[in-house]
Amino acid sequence: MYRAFLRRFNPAQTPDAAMSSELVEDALSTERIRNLMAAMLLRPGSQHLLVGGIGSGKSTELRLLTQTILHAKVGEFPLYLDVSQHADLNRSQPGAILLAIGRALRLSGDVALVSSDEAQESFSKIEALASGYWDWVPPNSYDDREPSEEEIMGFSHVHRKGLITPPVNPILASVESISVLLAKLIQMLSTQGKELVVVLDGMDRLLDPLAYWDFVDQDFAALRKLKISIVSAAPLSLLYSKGRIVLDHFDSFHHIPPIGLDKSGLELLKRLLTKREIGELVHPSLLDQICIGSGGVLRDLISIVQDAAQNAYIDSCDWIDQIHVDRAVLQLGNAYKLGLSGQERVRLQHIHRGGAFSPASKQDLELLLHRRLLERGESYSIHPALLEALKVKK
Amino acid sequence: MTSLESFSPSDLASILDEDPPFIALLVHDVAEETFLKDLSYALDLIPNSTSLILTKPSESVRGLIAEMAKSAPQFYCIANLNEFTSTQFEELDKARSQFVAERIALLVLNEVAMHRFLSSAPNLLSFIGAKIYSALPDIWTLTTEQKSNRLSNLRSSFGMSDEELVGSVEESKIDLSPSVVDWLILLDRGDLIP
Repeated sequence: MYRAFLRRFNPAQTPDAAMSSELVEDALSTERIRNLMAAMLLRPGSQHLLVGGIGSGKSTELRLLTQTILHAKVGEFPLYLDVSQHADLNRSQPGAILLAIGRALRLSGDVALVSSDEAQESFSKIEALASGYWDWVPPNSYDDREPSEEEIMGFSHVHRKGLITPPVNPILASVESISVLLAKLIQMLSTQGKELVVVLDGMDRLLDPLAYWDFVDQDFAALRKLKISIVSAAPLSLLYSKGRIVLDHFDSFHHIPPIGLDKSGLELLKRLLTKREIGELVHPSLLDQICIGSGGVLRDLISIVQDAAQNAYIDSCDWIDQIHVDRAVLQLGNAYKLGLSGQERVRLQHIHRGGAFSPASKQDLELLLHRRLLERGESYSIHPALLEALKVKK
Repeated sequence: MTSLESFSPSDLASILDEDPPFIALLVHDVAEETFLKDLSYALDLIPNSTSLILTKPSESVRGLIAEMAKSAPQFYCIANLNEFTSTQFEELDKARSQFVAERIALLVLNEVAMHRFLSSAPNLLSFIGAKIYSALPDIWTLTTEQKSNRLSNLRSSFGMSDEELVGSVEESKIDLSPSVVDWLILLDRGDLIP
C-alpha cells in the first residue's frame, strides 16, 4: 500500500514520469503557458525566461509548454532539452547550447533530417565540435596566436589572443560555425513546414548570473539571429542585482513564485494533492497543515507527504496521522535549519520581524536561493517549516 | 548540528526497501565503512530488495558521474565524499539531472562534508527535502542506555512487548525484518534467527 502511495509522492520524480502518470495539475500554469506559446509563435526569434526558485515547478511547466505547442498543430517543431544532460555546465564554453540543440535534433529522429545526407554531414560536424577533435596548425600561419608547449614537426596547438575587448562581444568564430550547421538543419525542417522552437531546461542550475551571461552573450545571440524562439529556465538570482543585466536581454520573463497560502492558494495546492490521490492515506482535515508547511513550494509539498507516509510506515500505522504530519514538517524545517550560521539566523529573525530584505546582500540572496526565505509579493518570509524548527516569535 | 532522525542500518534498510527516496546520511560517531557493511547485511535480509552498490568517487565529479552511470539500475550509494570541496559539491549540484529520479541514491557524508554540501548544493538538497538522517551505530556497539532506548522504540513502533515479540517469532506470525532481527539480538534471543 505504502509503496504505491510513495511513488505518487516522490519529490525527485521527473516531470515526464509525473505527467505520464497524470499526476500534474495543469491548472497551476495554464495562462502563463498560453502567453508564452503566443509570444514564441508570433515573434520568431523572441526569447523568454521562466524564472523561479528551486522546486517551484519550472521543469514541469516547460514540459507542459512543449506538449501544448505540439498539440496546437500550428506547424511548429517544439524541441525540449535539458542542457545539463547534454553538457557539463561547469566546463562548457559558449556554443555548448547550440551544439546541444544540434544533438537533440539528431536524437529527435525527424524523418526530414534522418533521410538527408546533408543533415547527416551537419550532425557529424556538430558531434566533432561537441566532443572535440585534434587540430594541428602549421608554424607561422597566424601571427596573433600564442603557440602552446605541444609541438610536433613544427605543427602546434595554438591559442588566439585577443587584442582589444569590444564593447559588445561579437559572436565567436567557433559559435558562428556551429550556427551555420544549425541553420542548414533548420532550413530543412522549414521546407517541411516545421518551424523550430526550443524549450531549454536545466539552465537554472547556473545560479551565478555571470555564468548564465556567458551563454546569453553567445548562444542565445546566435539563436536570435537564426530566428529560433526560445524559452529557457532561469534561476531566481536573475531577478536581483547583477542578474537584472541578463534579464534585459530577453523579450519577457515569467516569474513562478511559491504559491500563496491564502484561501485560493491553499485550494490550488489541495487540488494538486487530490490529483495524486492523497485521500487514500490522509484525512482531509490534515491537508491545510501539509500545504502551509510546504510554504507553497511544490517540491516541498510532495516531500512533506512522502515523509509523513514514511513516518506512518515506520510506526506500522495504516493511516497517516496528525503526529506523522507534525514530524514531517519539523523534519523539513530541521533540514533547512542544518548548516545555518549564527549570522544567517540573525538575518532571518530581522526579516521575520519586518526588517527589509536586501537583494544586494550576498547573504540575503543565498537565504532566498536556498529557499530558507520565500518571496511573497513585495515582501519575504521565512519558510514555514524552518520557522517551526527555529521557533522564532514575532 | 540540529538533531536529526537517527537510523540504525536495519531501519535504514527497511526505508530503502519501501520507497525510492533520495537520502543524505550523516555519519559522525559511526565508522562509515562498518555502517555500510551492516546496511548491506540488513538489505540481504529483505526478500527481493535492492542490493547496496557502493559508488566510490573518483578524483573528480566527472569521474563520479561516470561511476554512477555504470552502477546498478535501482540503487547506488555514494560514499567517501568527505574530501569533496565546496566547489566539487557545486559541480555535483549542477549535474542534478544525472541523478535519475527512479533510482535510489544514498549520499554518505561526515559532519564537515555535510556542512559543505548544505551550503553548496541547493538543487540536490531540494530533491532530498527532509531526508537527511544520522547514522546510528549497529546494535553490537550500543551503550546500555542506547540499547534501552532502541528497545523502547521497537516496542512502541511495533505495539508489542518483548514477550509478545518472542511469541510471534516462535509461532512464525511475524516476518523476520531487519528491525525484528535487531530486537531479537537485543533480547539475547539470536537463537530464534534461522
